[in-house]
Amino acid sequence: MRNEAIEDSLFVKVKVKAEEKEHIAAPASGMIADAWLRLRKNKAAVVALFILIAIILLAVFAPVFSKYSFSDTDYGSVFAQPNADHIFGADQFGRDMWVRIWMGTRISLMIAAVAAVLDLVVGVLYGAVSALLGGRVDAVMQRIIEVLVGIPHLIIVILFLMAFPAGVGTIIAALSITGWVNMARLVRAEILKLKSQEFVMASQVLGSSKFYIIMKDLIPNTVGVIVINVMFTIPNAIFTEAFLSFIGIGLAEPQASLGVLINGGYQVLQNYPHVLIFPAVVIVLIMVCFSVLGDGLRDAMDPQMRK
Amino acid sequence: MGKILEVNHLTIHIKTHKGTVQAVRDVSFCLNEQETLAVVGESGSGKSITMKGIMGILPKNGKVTEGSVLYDGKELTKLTERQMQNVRGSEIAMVFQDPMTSLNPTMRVGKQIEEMLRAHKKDMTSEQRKKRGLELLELVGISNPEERYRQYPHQLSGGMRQRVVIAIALACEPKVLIADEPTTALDVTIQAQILDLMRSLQTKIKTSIIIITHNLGVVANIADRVAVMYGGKLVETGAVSDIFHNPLHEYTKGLLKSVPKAQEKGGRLQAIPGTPPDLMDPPKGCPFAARCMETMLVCQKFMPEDTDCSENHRSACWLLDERAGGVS
Amino acid sequence: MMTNQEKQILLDVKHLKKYFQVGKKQTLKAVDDVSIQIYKGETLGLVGESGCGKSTFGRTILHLYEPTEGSVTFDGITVDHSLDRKQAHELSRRMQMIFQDPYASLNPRRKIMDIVGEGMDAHGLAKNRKDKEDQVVNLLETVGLQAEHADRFPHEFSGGQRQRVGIARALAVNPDFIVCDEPISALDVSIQAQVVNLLEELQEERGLTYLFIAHDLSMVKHISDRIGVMYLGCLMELADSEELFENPMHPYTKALLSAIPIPDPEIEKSRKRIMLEGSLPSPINLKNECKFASRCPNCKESCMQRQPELKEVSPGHFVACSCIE
Repeated sequence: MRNEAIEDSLFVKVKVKAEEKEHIAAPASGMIADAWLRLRKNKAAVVALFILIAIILLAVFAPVFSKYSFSDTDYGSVFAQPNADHIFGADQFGRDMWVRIWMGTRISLMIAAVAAVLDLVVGVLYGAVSALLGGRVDAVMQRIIEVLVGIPHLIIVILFLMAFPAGVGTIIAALSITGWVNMARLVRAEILKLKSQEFVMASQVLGSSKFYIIMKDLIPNTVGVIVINVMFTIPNAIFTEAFLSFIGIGLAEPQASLGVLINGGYQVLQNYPHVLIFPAVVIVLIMVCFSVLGDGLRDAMDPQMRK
Repeated sequence: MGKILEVNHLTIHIKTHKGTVQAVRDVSFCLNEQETLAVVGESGSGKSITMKGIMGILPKNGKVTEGSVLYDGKELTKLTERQMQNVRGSEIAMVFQDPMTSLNPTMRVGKQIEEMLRAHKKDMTSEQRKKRGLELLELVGISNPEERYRQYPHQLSGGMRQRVVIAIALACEPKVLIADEPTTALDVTIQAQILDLMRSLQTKIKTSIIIITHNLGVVANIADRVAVMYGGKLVETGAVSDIFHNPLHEYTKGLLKSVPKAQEKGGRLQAIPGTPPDLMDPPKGCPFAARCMETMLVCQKFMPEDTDCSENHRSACWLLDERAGGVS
Repeated sequence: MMTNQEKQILLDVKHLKKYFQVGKKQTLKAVDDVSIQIYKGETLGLVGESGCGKSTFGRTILHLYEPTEGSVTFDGITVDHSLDRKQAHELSRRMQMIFQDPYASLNPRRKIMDIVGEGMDAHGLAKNRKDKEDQVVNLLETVGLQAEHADRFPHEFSGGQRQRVGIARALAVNPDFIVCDEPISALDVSIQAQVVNLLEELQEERGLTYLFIAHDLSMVKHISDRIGVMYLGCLMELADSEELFENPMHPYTKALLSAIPIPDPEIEKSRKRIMLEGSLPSPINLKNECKFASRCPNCKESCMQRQPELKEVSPGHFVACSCIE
C-alpha cells in the first residue's frame, strides 16, 4: 500500500453538519447574473454588445461635439471625399456626412426603441390578459390577432403613412400598429405554460391572491422571452423605417434617418459611392449586432440549459 | 467466460460555462460475455456519462481525457467517428430511458427497424429487412407484429414503445446492450414485463447487458454483477449477492439501508445525510467522505485505492486498509 | 395504532368525480366516484400507475380543480361555493400540498426566503419583516437547512434540498393536512429516505395528517397507516397497509404487489410473478364495465355489467371486485 497515508491519520472523524450542505458556488448567481456569466462566454455576442454601445454613444454625442449641424449646407464642399474636415465626406448640399449619419442613426434608433417599447407594453398586456382570463375572452382576442396577422404588415404600414402626415411620430405609430402581435403571442404562450407549473399551483394552494401570482410568479418568469423578443424587434423596426424612407414615404429631407441617407446616396452611387457606403455600413452593423446579441441572450437565458 | 468490454481508467470532463465538471474520474470495470452488469448510483454520479463515453456519444462539451475502452480487443476511444458509427448499433447498442423521445414520431415503427438494418447490414434486400423486422417485433413479445409494423410510435403504449426500442437495439445482434434506466419511465407492472423480456432475450440471443438503474429492486431482479458509482468514481464492484449481503463500501451499505424492507414495518429508515459532492470541484479524498458515518482523516485527504476483497469483489474504501482495522 | 373510537374523521370525501372534457365529445374520467375518509393524524397512502387519477384526486381535494360531482368535507366544513371568502381562505391555510417535481415546484426567480415566506404573507402570519425572517429561518432549520440558505435561489440547490424547501413552504402556514403528491419519486434513493424520515418526524411533532400519493409501493407501505389502490379513476381496494400487503384481494392489487422488485437477489430470482397482460387502457370514453376487466385474469360475465362498488369484506378492508363476496 501507499506510504503517504500516515498511520496516525486513521482516525474516525465526526463531520460538521453545516459543511455537508454547504454550497461551493459563490452566492452571486441569480438568474440575471447567471445569464450574464453565460453571455460573457459568447465572444460574438460580447463584441456585438460593445459595437452597439459604441454606435449608441456616437449617435448621442457625435452630433453634439461636431462643429457642423446636420442641416448646415456648405456649397464649397459639395460631394467632398472623406478628409480631415469632413471625416465621412459631404453630400450634394455639402452637408457633413459624419454628423448626418450619427443624427440619422439617432433618429433610427429612437424610432426603433419607441416602437419596441410600444410593442412591449401593448404586446405584454394583451398576451397576459388573454392568457390569464382564458376561455371566451382568450378566444376572441386570439381571433383578433389572427385577423391582424392575416393582413400583410407592409400594406397596413404604407396605407397608414399615406393617410397621415409623414414624421417620426407617424412612423412609430405605423410600426406599432401590428408590431405587438408577435410579442402578444409569445407572452401568451409563455404564461399558459407557466400557469400549469407546479410552483404556480403551490402559490394557489398557499392561498396567494391572483394579483400576487401574476406579479411574482408569472411576469418575472416571462422576462427572458420578452427581452429576447425586444432584441429582435429593434433591428426589424430599423429595417422597416429605412425601407419606408428609402421608397420615399418615410421621413423627408432635411431630416436624416439612415433610410433617408441611403436613399440620397443611392442616387449618386456611381460617382460618389462614399455617400452611400457609410450609412449602409452603419445600418448593417446595427442589424447584425442586434441579431447576434439577441441570439446570444436567447442562449444565455434559455431555461432549458439551466439545471 | 471472456471479457467482451474492458474499461480502464476512463476519465471524462464536461466543460460548462461555470467550469469543468469532472463527471467520470478514473473508472475501470469489465463486462464478461453473456452477463448482466448493473450500474447503480445517484443522479449525477457519472453512470450515464460513462456509458455515453463508451459509446462515443458524449455531448459536444464532453471529452474523454484519459483511459481506454477495449471492446473485443479493439480500442474504441481511438476510432474515428465513421468507424465508431459502425460499432454503434451493430456491436454495441443502447436503449434510453424515455421510449417517447428515442423513437422518431413521424416514422412508422417497421421503417425505423429497417433503417437500423439498412445502416449496418448493407447486403440485405428489402424483403429480408422486412422479414427480419417482423421477427424482431415478435422476439420482443409484441402481439400481431404485422399490424404494429405499420403503426406510428404514438399509437403504441409506453411499454410497447420500449419493446420497439429494444427491438431496434437488437436488430443487428449486438454483443453488448447498454440500457440506460430502461424502466424508470414505466409503471411497475410494465416494468416487470420489460425486465422479464430482457432476461429471456439474454438467454435467447446471448448478449451482454449493462443496465443503469437506481432501483435496487431492478438490480436484484436482473443483475449478475453490480457496479456502484458515487461522485464520478466507481466505489464498489461485485457479484450481486456479495453486494446485497456483504457490501463493503459505506455508500453501498447506506444505500441498501435506506430502502424500506418489505418484511419489516415501522421504525425510521436509515437515510444517508447530506448531498452528493459538486463535481465541478470534487473533494480531494474519497467523494463519499462528507456523508460517511465512518469518515477518517485519511478519507478526506487521500483517494482510496481499489482493493480486492475476494475474487471479483473490489471496493475503494480506506476502511478496507489493514491500518483501519482497529478503528472501525 | 388508534382504536376505532379514537379515530376522528378529518377529511371526508364523498362520491368525488372529476371529468375533463377532451375535444368536443370525449370525456376523460380522471376520478370516477371515489369516496374515502381520512382520519386525523394518519397517513393514507394512495397508489396506482400513472394516469390512474391519483394526482387529480389530490388536487381536486384541495380545490385546485373544481370537482365535477361529489363533496369534500374538511373537519366538518364542506368545501364548496357556499363558504365565504374568509372561511375559504382559512381552509386554504389548513390544507397544504407538497409537489412531485422539486425543479418545477419552486419559482426560479425568487429567493428561498420569499418562497417559504409566501404563505405567511398570504395569511398574515408574520407580524413584521423581522418576524417573518425569523420564522423562515426556523422552518429551514426544521427541515435540515440553514439560515444562510434563505438568500439563495432554487437552482443552487440539489433535488433533495429543494424538496425540503417545498416542505418548509407548506409548513409555514401551520397546516393540519398535507397532500404529498409523489414527493419522493424524482429523488435519488438515498435522498428519498431523508425526505420520508423528515415527513414522519414532522407528523409526530405536529400531529399532521397526510395523503401520500406515490407509485413506489415499498415506500408507501413504510410510511402509510392505510393504503388505497386506484385504477383508472376508481378506488379498487382500501385496507390497513399491513393487511393490504399480506392479504391483497383485488386481482389488480395482487398483480401490482407481485410486480414490485424486491431488493434481494435471492427472493427476486425465486419469485413467481402475476404478469398482467397488456397495458393500461386509455381512460377516455370507457365502457360501462369493471375498469379492470380488460386485463383481469379472472374476468367473468358479471364483470362486464358495471364498475363494482367498494365493499367492506373484513373490518377496515374494502374491495371493489364482483368476484369477492
